[in-house]
Amino acid sequence: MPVGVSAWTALANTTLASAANSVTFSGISGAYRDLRIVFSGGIGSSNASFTINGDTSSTYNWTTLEGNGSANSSAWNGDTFGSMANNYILWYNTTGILVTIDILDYATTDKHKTILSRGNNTARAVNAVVNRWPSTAAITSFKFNGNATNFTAGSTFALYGLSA
Amino acid sequence: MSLFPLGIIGQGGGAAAGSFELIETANGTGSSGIIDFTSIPATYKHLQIRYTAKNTSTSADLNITFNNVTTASYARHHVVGNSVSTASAAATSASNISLIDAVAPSTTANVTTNGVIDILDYAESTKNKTLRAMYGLIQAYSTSRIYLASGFLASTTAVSRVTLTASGNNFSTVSRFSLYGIKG
Repeated sequence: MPVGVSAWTALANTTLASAANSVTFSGISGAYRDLRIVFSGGIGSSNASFTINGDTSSTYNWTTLEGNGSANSSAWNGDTFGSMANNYILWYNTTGILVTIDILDYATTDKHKTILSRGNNTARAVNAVVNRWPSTAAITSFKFNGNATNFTAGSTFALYGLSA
Repeated sequence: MSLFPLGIIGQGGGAAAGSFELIETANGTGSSGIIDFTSIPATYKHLQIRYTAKNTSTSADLNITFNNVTTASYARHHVVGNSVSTASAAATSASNISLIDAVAPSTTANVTTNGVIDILDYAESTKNKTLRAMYGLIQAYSTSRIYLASGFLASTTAVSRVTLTASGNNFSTVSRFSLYGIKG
């Protein structure tokens, strides 16, 4: 992108008219430098996760930093489906969840994809999470998984691209 | 404009169209440990640096100075999660803002440390200069980290230069640093 050109582009935005178990952004163009994803809403009674490029066989390792009002903590997990803000952020809280996710250099093929997220759950905790998808492939799809339960109606999912 | 420099909810988010602009991108060369953004225009409200970094050798800190000031007038804090526990640390009277462990080592293939650094009100002459950062790295269980950090320079001079220096060795060629300006 030429210097001085406006950098963010809204690529997709989904608002759930009714509860749904997953939302997928697919066909993501490789024309941008970074991606930003914003989730606002709630989920029923299970933790959420994400899947990149339909890859459910890789281990998406993650590390968290969290404060819940009475204690702080850090955790690690190698979850086959990855985490979305440590999953904690979606502890069956039906409202008041806000997660922002940054994926830098998502389309480059010289590095694994590191995902930074900040989670805010008005009933539970705040946290920061780093997650790595161990692949050098460009990211072309991103799927939110509700797993055993659903995202609530009215939840919004937005995808932005940042020009290089 | 939002309280957050990026309009959409905090660290790293997208702002309204036309308010977030690329100033410069610098890539690692493998032979230098310094990224120097100079002659930064004062026409924005805030600055943001988005980076992916890897060292040519062991992991390194990312030391930040403004306007080439290297006197003992910086301070910093951070809180970190290391997969097992949390910790916090600080420094005062420092010669730079040191983002601890903010550059990945060369030992783990394809792994980088990624981060977003916001420098708020960088051009104002009525307040000291502050930054906030979020960065993280996933390697193995015992060497993965997620940081929230802040930094401070006791100077009201507008920032026109930001220098990022690896505390040791060089930035590998997969490293990338992009400087953006956010209009107010």
